Amino acid sequence: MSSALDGYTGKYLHVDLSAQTGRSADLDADIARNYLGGTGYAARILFDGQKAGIDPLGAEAMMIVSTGPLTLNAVPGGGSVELCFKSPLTGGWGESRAGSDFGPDLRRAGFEHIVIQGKAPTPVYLVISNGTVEIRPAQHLAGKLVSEKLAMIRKELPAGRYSIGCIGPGGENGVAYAAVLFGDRAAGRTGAGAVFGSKNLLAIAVEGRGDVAPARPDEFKKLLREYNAALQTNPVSIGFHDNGTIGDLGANDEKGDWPTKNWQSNSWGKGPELLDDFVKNNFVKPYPCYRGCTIACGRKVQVRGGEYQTPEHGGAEYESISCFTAYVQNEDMDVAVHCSHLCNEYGVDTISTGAAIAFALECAEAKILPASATVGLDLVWGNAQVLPILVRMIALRQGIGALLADGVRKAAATLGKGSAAFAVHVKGLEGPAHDPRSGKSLAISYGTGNRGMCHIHPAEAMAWDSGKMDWGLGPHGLPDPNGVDRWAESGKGAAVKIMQDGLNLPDILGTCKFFMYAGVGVDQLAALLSCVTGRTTSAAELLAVSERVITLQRLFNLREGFTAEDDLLPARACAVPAFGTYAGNADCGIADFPAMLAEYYQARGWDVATGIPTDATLARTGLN
Amino acid sequence: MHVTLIAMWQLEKDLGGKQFTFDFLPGSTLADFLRKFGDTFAGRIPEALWNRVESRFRGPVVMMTNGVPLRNPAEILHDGQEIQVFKVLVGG
Repeated sequence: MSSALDGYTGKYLHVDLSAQTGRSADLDADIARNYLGGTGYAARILFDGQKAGIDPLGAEAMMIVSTGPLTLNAVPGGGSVELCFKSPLTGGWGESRAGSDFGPDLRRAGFEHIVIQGKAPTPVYLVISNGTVEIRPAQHLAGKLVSEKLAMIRKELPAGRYSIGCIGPGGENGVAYAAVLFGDRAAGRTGAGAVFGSKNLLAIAVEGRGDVAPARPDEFKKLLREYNAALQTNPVSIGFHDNGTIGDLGANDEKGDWPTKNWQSNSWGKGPELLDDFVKNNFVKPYPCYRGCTIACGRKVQVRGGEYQTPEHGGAEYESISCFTAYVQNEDMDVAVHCSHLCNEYGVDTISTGAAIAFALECAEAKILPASATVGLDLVWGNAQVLPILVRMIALRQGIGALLADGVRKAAATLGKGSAAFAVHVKGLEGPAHDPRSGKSLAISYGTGNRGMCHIHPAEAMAWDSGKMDWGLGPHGLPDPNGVDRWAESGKGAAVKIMQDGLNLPDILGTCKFFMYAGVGVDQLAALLSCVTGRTTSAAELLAVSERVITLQRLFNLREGFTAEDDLLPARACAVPAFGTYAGNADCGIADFPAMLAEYYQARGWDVATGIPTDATLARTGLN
Repeated sequence: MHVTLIAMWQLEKDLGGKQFTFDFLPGSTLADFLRKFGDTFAGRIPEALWNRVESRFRGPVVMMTNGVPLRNPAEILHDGQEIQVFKVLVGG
């Protein structure tokens, strides 16, 4: 006979760093049923357990380390961990994911989530093992780079296969977009590392030997065999493995999906040669970010010599490299790979760091920056040498780095003098390296993403109208992308609603989104979840949960003071490109974003003028 | 011998058709196929996807026969072989 929490560990860990205590608590079966896990369960905890208006870096702020019912090494993409919190960068909903064994190991240790509150009086790290937690002093780790911290912690741990999440100097110094590193993989966006740092929490190590057994084990194994076999012959899966995310550097440049020179254009023309340079000089081999990953999209890379030499490391993702090449007009791939590695060592988000530097370069060109802040720095487009210097200055909050460390929205507010036009963000989150002027549905995705201007949480929407993918969402209402004009604006708002509901599911279930690209779609996720929990869940029911979660996160933002104004795109991201392949091409420009937004609100059942969910929508989603 | 290229997804539009059959001498390899591809399509396929100098795909273009990826340029082709070519999206 099945119980309400079959397929879950049934517990979460509550840590109060002020009191220096940790205790196991029972998972709430109602929340698990209605929000499942991951960013869904965490949204409910944060909405109910944290007051609006609190300081995201204060002791009362909560940090939730979260997994979902499919966070299992055996599940395609199941090596995932999600961090949920109030973002110090945006002031709204913060979530960030990393691929890692940390999530499955946390569940093996007996916990679905870690809810962290309070502030330790001095630096500490947590050691979680098989249902227990120990709070250890960490003053000796303060100020160390991520790789140094990891090595030191590993020496101090007892025997066992520990996964470690750890911050760098960026998090300790309160960089608003500081990351939490799980080995070489970063939960980078929206500032989780700063929240860790504000609590004097430098790292969490976890190991577990328990087993989270599926309720229908035979059926579960059969599905896994079937899905893994399909992944072996899926061209997208093979493409990810063979090329990594960086493989699209040239293709995205060609399609106008590559923001360039702080978004002055959507193409540069140098993507193909930069990719060749990377493959020839920096690429070492593919690697998986967790045990059992059948895709292994990660790249082991290095700079083999010279001033920018690095050890072999996991990195050089598409986003990271784009932000340290096209964003800043840098043509030296070694420097880009080096900067991506530096960001991980210092524990800062590669996207926001590269974007903040691009903002600074444009401010310098416009002579907006105070001269005292730029002494000794040659802040010009394409100057590769200044990039690593600026990464360190940001992470250590030195000189102009202190200004940039709070993100471009705040930096522009401080600087004034028209610099807001150079600050490309939504809700305070700097834009990533995909351009809505290549596929207009991304504009809506950027505007309405609860964590801000993000391409992947919840949906990489230009992959539909420009890339012609549908992630198996066709039977669930998403129009066939092959009949869609990538530059049309009408119809995109309604389509994005469907994409968001679908592509949000991996964040709720605790899996990797890339597997949805490779054929593990909503129907497959529903089948896997049904086997794990023993309760048959349809794809439609899953999509309804996702809509509930997105709406609750929206309510979180509204409660923090966000309005429909915060869903608007920066003018830069809507403008006809100033140069490049699409220079002067009016098709690229976004002509009527408010109309697209109204269509989206309508599809969501939100008030078309205010973007507030209507009473009927709240009732329909169970949020009334 | 004959080998057929099947252009999948976006490549059908880029190459201007779905199927193209090429003649090869026995013992020809995947590298020969790629050279013939370049001779035929270099003017149509974006530079972002095709390295004209080295006669190879650039970025995430996947070649498969019967569900098996073709990666080795020295791989011998066989008569009647069908090679599916996909441009996939990976830049997350």
